[in-house]
Amino acid sequence: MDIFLEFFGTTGFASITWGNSIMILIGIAFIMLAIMKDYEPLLLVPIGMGAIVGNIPTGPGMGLGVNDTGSVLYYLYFGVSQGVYPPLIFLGIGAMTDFSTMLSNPKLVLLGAAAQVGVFLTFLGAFWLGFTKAEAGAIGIIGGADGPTAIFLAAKLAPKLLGAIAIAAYSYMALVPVIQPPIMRLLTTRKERLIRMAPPRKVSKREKMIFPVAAFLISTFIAPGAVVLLGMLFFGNLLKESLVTERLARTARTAMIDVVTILLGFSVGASTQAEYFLTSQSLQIFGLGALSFAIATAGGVMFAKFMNLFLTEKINPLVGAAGVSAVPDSARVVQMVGQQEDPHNFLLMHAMAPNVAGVVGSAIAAGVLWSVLT
Amino acid sequence: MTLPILAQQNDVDIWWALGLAGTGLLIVFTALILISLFIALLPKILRVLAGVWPEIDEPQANTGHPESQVSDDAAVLAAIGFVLHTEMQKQLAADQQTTRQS
Repeated sequence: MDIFLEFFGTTGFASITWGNSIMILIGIAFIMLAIMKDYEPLLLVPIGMGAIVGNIPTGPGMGLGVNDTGSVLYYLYFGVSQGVYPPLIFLGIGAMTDFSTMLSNPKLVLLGAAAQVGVFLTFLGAFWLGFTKAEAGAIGIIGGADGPTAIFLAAKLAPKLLGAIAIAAYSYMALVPVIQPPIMRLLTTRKERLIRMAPPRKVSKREKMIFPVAAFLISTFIAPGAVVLLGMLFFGNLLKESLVTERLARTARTAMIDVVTILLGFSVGASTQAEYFLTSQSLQIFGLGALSFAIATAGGVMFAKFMNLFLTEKINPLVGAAGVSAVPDSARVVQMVGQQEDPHNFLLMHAMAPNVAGVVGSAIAAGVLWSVLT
Repeated sequence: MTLPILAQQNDVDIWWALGLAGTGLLIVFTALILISLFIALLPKILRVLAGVWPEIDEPQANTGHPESQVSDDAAVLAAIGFVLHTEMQKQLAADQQTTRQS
């Protein structure tokens, strides 16, 4: 009987807390959202399962969590805590991305910069709430709407907040179709939403080959802090566009990115242990994250309207909302909102330009914050 | 002076944070404006370079490295086979219909 009681003391039933129960329910909710609503299933299923695994209470001295040196989860989480996984994800994204639409209409690149206003205003908001400078920088990058970038910067600047920042970034990325449309409609008139844009010009193979090397040099000479993320992004794109390394590009955009996504999602989920995650700071981070997405969307739309003051060939301001770098979800939202006004208006290709520019912009913003705040 | 919106931090930090936000945004814009300018100039640069480095229909560029084509070949053959099969089925159905009508 004593042995049984001793064993019972080590079970989850004996040592579970309310916090663990809440986090397990959140994990289940993530999995259900992914399966039933198809919200970012590739991320929410690993994160949800990770949250369940990370919140199973273990007996004293067993040391199974991500923070217990030597445990399996500790080693899986190493790729997150040391910022290894995000650049590998960027390699895969680069190998998937077609920069043609951006190359055919370079002025749309500016919308990707305008949307980064969300990053810097959220930084100010977090600072105002009393977070340290480094923490505020890590929280601000949620406004970049780029999960890997948010994880990379949080790992460098505020490792304690990493779980909350990663969950906030990915949750809001999944909620792009819910958050963006009301803001887009609020800031544009029907006439503006009906603007049709000229089809993009054909881009030569040589332009596509030169672009990743040149863009990498330009951006990292200005913001060297972005060298890892942008180096991998443009390296992946060069693998794709060089046409002689198709096998490597295929591996980067399929098997490799899948493996890293599984490891990253699961270990980030496992890091949301209730005692570290369920804090008032996490709630503040979630609030700031929602605000940053809204500001970034508004920034892109308003800047498109500002550009229209000087352009003879007008931009549909909805396209500005794709400046947040949630690729390709925000571009799809632009297409959806545009087609609600005019079913024959195809904005998807145009929206992809600020969308991929937003990826570059948020990586540069992360580089700037990392350089200054470390 | 304390800015009311940033009342929880001290003055020096407030101005420092505002400066960082402004400078950061400026750096992002500068980098993307330069990339945008480069993209706009690229076709012109390539036109100038065309004399030295002409853009031709490079067979390698069109087809990719022979090694990278291995698995694509199987997919292409499967697609051709599927189309042939579908067309033959249609043809067979049409022949049968003609025979029945006659």
